[in-house]
Amino acid sequence: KHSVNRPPTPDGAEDQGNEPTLQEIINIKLIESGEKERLMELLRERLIECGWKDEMKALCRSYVKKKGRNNVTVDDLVHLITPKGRVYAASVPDSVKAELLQRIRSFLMSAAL
Amino acid sequence: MSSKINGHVSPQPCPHLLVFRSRNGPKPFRALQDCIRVKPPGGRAAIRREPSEVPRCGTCEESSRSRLYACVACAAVFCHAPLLHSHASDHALSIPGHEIAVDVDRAELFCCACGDQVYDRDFDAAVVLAQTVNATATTSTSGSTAMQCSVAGSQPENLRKRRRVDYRPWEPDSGEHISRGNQSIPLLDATNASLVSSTQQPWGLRGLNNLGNSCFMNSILQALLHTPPLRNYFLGDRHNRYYCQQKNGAINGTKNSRLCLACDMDALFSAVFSGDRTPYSPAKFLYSWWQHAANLASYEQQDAHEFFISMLEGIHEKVEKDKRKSQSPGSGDCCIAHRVFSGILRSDVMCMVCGFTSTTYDPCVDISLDLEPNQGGSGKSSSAKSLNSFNVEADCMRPNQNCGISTLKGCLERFTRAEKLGSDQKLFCQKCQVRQESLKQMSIRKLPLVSCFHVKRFEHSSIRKMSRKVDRYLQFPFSLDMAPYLSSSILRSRFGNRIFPFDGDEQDASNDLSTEFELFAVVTHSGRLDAGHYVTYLRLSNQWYKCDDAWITQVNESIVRAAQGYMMFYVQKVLYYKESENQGTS
Repeated sequence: KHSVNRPPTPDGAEDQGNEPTLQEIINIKLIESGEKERLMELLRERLIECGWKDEMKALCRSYVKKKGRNNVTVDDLVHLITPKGRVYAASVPDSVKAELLQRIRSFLMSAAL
Repeated sequence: MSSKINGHVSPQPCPHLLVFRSRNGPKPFRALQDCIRVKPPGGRAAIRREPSEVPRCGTCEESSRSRLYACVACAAVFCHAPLLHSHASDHALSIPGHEIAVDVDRAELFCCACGDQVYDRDFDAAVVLAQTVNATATTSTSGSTAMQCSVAGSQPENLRKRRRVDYRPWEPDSGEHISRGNQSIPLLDATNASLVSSTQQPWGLRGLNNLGNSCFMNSILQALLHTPPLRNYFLGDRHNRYYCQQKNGAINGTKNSRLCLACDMDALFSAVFSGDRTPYSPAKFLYSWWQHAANLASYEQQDAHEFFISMLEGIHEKVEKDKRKSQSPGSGDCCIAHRVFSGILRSDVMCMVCGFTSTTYDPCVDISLDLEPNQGGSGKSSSAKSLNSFNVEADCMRPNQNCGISTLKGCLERFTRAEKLGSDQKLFCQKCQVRQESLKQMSIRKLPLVSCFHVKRFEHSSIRKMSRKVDRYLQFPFSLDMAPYLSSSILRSRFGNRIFPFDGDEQDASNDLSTEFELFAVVTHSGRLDAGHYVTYLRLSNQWYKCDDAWITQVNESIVRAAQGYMMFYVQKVLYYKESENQGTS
């Protein structure tokens, strides 16, 4: 029986001899510097401000009301709102998208990638 | 599948969680608790074996596109994207006993077999504790009082348990007998019964004459005259003006040496509810108030909200002399004004560097709300000109602020939103021992019996030495649920999806009364800042009445919805009796 304190699994990518992709490198750098967390917080804030979160909440609520509280799982809700979320992404102001892109760009430049 | 404890739903564990618990001892998530990492700012809890670990899916190396879950049984990390593939589910289904996992970025438990979130009291308590561990170092015996630890200062007084008093029907004592006989006017007798039924207006509707720009006072008085707990108090003779003046006279030795705004209110209630429909001149009241607020004594137009506050203070001041009662406005025991209007606001200030949060409680008699700043051009804002159609709801189905319609709920949401204080407003952090940038969040600790919302329409700029009025329309509901703005709800949303171990304590604070409120009065302002007019709309027996100084008229509710609200008065639904249309006169 495994204990929770088992050493971390070996890095599969190295074993297979694959080079990490650019996307993976960027992701790791974003996480290590803490920038990813900051960007996520920023995005969360903006999505609340522009009402996107309320949209999603309303969709979930009406679904739960319809199905009954005890008959809905988190996965059900994810199935429901993932496509809708993409549609409603159009309602997010362009300024939010621009702001995030700008932040990511600056990060990439400062990280000398 | 879920049960209610104190009104909050407590989810029952799924079968896999039950099995897991039975197999792994009394504290199955103990090892996981060591991996809780809290990252400022915002203080989100994450699960990492080492602080700098970058989690990846053990099957597909994925680390960015979908949520990652760590199996609680074997610590292996997998991705979970319900619409695509879920290696977490694959793992759960392939090995029995490995169904329970934890979201590595949110520290929330998940059953991969059920596809649903699950909760464990001890684990959630540990997460909350980790998130607030910066507060104090004291350990408490009950173990789950993390939130109490973070309170700076003592608990507000009203959380002491109230003793319940047995019901006893009222019998007048000798003094009350006399005053009842001498001074009371029968509500219904031969002379005025016909008057009432012929006009078919509810009790207590009487115009107030304008004594010279005194609509600011008339509008507030109309609202107060129909504030249910206040009306009941005065009509129930709880403050008898004859009895009171005698007391005061005895103390000070001279007649009429002390003004008492409560006595004047009592006189006003008697006059307005007498059944006489001719407009009344509240001259004595105005005069008394001038004496109380000397700096505002003039025939100039005053601010209705300022008058409201000053009036409550005036009533409070009177009873400060009664040493037996608690003086703290928060408890509501000091005077009827605070008993009715006083709530408690909670303010949390979090240091953005170390996460230390300091909490303070302050009583308040109303909530002043900012109107939104003008919406930036998103190209989608519809004009807010649809004032006269109360299809504003239909036009604007989405709560999206891009619609351009400001709502009272939107204002309350902004009021309780976490706000980053500017770098010029750094606050002293007790832990860092230096001024740091902070995050501030307001919430309501205790709701009053009557909530008064004041919309800040008058902006005074001392810098530019000018004032202006904001005319933007604000939509307000007739029924309002204050639950999302309570401290318990705000804290809940701060910590993610958790069971809260201190639910019991918080419930005392939000007390036995519900969070649902009904609108009963709206004070509106029309015109300019220097030349404007106040009018009050009252909701009685589910009809709306417009009180414009001496003129009272019945109006349609759409008029009220379209009005420019300046102050809105909501009463706890349990205290709001929706009378039937037929007012029986026997």
